[in-house]
Amino acid sequence: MSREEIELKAEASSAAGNPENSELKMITFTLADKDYGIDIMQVKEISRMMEFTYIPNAPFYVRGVYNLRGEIISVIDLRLLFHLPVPEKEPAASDEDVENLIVLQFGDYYLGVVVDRVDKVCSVRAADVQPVHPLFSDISIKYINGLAHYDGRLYILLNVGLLADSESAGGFISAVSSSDTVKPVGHRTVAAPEAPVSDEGKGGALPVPEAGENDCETDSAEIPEGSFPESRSDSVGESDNEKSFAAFTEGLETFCGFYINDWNRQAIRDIFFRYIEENGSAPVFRTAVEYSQLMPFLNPQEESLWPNEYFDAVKSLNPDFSGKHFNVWSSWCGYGYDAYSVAAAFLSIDENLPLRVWATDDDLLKISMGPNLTVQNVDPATPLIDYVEETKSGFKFKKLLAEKLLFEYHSIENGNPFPKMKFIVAKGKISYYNKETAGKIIGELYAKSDSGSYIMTADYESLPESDFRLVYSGSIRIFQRI
Amino acid sequence: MRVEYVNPFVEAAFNTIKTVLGVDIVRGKLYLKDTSQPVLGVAVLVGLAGDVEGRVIFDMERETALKIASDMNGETLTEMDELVKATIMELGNMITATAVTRLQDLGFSFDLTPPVLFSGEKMELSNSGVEALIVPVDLPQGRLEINVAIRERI
Repeated sequence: MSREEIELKAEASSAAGNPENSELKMITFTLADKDYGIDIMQVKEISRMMEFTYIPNAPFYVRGVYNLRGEIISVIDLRLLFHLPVPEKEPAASDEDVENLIVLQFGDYYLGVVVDRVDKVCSVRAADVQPVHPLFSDISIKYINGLAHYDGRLYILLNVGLLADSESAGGFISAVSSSDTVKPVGHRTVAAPEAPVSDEGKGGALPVPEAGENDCETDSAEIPEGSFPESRSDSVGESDNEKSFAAFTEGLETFCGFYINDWNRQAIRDIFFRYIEENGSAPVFRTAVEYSQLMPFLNPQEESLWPNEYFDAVKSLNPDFSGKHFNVWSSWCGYGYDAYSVAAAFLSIDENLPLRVWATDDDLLKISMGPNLTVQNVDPATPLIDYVEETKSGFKFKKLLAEKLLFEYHSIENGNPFPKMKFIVAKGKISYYNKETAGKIIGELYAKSDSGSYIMTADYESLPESDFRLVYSGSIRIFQRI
Repeated sequence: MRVEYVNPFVEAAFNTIKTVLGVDIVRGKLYLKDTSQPVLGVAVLVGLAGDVEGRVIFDMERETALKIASDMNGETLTEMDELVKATIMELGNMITATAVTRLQDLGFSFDLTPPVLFSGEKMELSNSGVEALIVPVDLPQGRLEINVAIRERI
């Protein structure tokens, strides 16, 4: 690994005099072709490095941690933090993926920030630093100390102290420091008050004076709920479990493509903590098979017509059949088993119901089979038996039922051009979308339902209590919108 | 989009292009797209009305349009003149009309609007609330994207 280093002499004396005339030395660098500066007093060194160690569940702008001559430092990417474009590395330009890094020092902690290019060191008079207009910059105004003019160019002076503090608010340093991987720095050239890590200090409060508490709300919302709780000495066991839960859910994503979201978080947590209760330790799974043994619903089940339980559940709802149309949406209907079943469920309650079932899926091969679906077996105990006729190739659905169905090749991620639905079948698929898409889809399902509408989910999924009331719970669940 | 509509459009496109241009074509994978999307350079739009509402767009690069028009007219055309535009619009019209005829046979009632041609650079198309089926067609003359967005009248 190649590394060039600039040793920076601390000239602490200049700041002691008249602040109006004092000189401010800043290191300048670029982010997305714009010039920025950081007060040199907060910079420990400049370095070029690569291969950061990835930290799971960290905020999006955290690149990982890095071993800097024995000190573990956390590394964040300013371009990601400020939502600026990150240039593609040309593989041929250097033999390795080397990033320019400025190592900042806050009391006992080091923090590495990745920038596009480190430029130079220059001095400006502190009096020449001007406040910045809120409209001026691409980046969040609260990170900006002011504008400095030097050699015909304007530099945006960053408030890195706040940066470190938003770090700790985001929980990253606190998470790392609580496991004692970040050690206090013993040898330093810049005089700073000694801040030994006490038990109380483990929470990660950094000795950074500038930042007010109100400024710290940044990015804390990015953290998944409960993944990095405040680590206090009295709740160490709990926090270990939370960490194992974070690792457990990450494995779920990696091995099973199953994401934790608002629909399933509670159920997965329950399963996880029940396992701990029963086995005395957190589950550590390394294969999809291990996961699906604990959670059988991870096994992709073959599509099938509804069992009697579902029909009874729908019947027990006593749905309101008033209105011109009774619209039902079978999302992710696949070949259409759900769609035919839900249609039969409602028609068997009222055969004159003005029913319309919108059956959608984004798998063209499957959905194309929908209009002419043939099944081999129909349980004679279910209402479906009244809506099929036997042919040479199996059971086909009678026109009476089939004409109520509308099969659409449609991806739920795109806009949904449907009317408001009285009943939505949405079970067992939403966890297979990443957090962002899942959020969008949940919003879409909400937008397509109405007060009094029902949504059918899998038994491990639940809807927010503020808007939905659980009205049936068995091997599926049905919620009613309040 | 209803699955019943997919095949008539795909078949109409392939049969028409094969007959008119006399070339072998390769069908790309069909997929869905949210409707806001860039236009390659030349786009022919045919509107649909009746039981449904929607439109079909035939989208291609300028060079592809010139080559297709040249082959259809049996002469080399190098400028986007009236003849080229009329030829490309006619191709769009033929494909859409063939598809709609097939759909009529299946019991769906559609009407067409006269084709409209757009050309220019860095254009983008937006419809709200309809997703589009994209049928990519690879021709020796270049790539043609058929973009079908239809929704039921409700």
